[in-house]
Amino acid sequence: MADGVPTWEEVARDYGRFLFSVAYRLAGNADDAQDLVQEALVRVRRGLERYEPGSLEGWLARIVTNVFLDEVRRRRRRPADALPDDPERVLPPAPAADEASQSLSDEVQAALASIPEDFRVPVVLCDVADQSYEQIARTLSVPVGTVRSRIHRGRRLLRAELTGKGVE
Amino acid sequence: MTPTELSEDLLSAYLDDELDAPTRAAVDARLAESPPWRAVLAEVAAARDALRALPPVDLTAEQWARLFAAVAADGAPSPAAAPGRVSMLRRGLHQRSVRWISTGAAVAAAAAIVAAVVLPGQQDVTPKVATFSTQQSARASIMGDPVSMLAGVGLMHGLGR
Repeated sequence: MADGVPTWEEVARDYGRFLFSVAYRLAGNADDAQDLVQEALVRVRRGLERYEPGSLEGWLARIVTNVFLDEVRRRRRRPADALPDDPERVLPPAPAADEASQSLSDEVQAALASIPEDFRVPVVLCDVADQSYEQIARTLSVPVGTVRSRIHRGRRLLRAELTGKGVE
Repeated sequence: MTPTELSEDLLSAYLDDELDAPTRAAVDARLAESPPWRAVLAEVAAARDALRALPPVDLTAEQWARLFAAVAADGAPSPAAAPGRVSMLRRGLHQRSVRWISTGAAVAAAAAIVAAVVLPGQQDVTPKVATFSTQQSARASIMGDPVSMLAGVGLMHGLGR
C-alpha cells in the first residue's frame, strides 16, 4: 500500500467478502453477485489512482452499487434479453449454519428481492453495507431526505412481504 | 417541528440514529402519544432486524480463485493458459463462455489472494505468501519461469474447502 492507497489485490483480499455480501443482497443470487463482484473489482483496479484515502468500504459499496444499477438499467433497455440456461450458472448455494436458519434467511432474501430496486438499494446499503444516510445519498446522487423515505418505505415493504400483509 | 408535522418516514431514521436531537425528541413525543406510530416503528424495526441478522454469504475457494484470476487477467496482453469466467456485465450479453487467462502470473497472483481470503491467519509465515507469490509472479511474467506458474496453479487447486 502506497500513500494509503491499497492495491487491487489488497482490496480483493480484505474486502472481497464485503463486496460479495452487498452484491448478493442486491442481486438476490450467488451467480449474479459473482458477476457484480468481478466487474466491481475490475473497476477498482482501473480506478485506484482516483481513490482518495477515506472510507474504503463506502467507496467499494458505491462501486458495486453502480455496477448493479448499470445492470438493472441495461436489462430494462433489453427486457427480452432473457438469461439462458448455462451450466456455469448452477453454482453451489452459499454455506449456511443449518437448514432452519437457511430457510429463514431464504425467506428474507426472497422478500428483499421482491422489493423494487429504488427501495432495495438504500436498504441494503444501510443494513448490509452499514453505510450512513449521507454516504447512501452520495452513492445514489439523491438528497438525504430521499434516502430516509426510501429506507423507510423499503423496510415497510420488506415487512409486508414477510408477513403477507400489504402496506397502506 | 411539532409532533403533528412529523413525517412517518422519520421512524427508520430514528432507529438508525440519523436524526438531530430536536427531531429525535419530537419523534419521541409523537411515539408516546400515538399507538399507530409505535406499531409502524415495531414493523420497520422487525424488518431491519431480519436483514441485519442474515448470515454471512461467501463463495467457495474455487469460485474466488476463478473470479480473482479473471480480474487479474483483465486487460492482459495475450491469450494463453487457463479457462476462467467472463462477466456478462462487461460482455453486455447474457451468455457465458470461456475466458482465457492471459498469463501464469495472473493465475499465481489470484491464487495468492485466494490464499489470504480463504485461509485467514495463514499469513504469519515467512516469507509472506502474498509477497512471495507476487515476487515469483513478477519474475515469471518476465522470465517465463514455468515452475513458478505451475506452483501458482497448484496452490489455487489445493485450496478447495
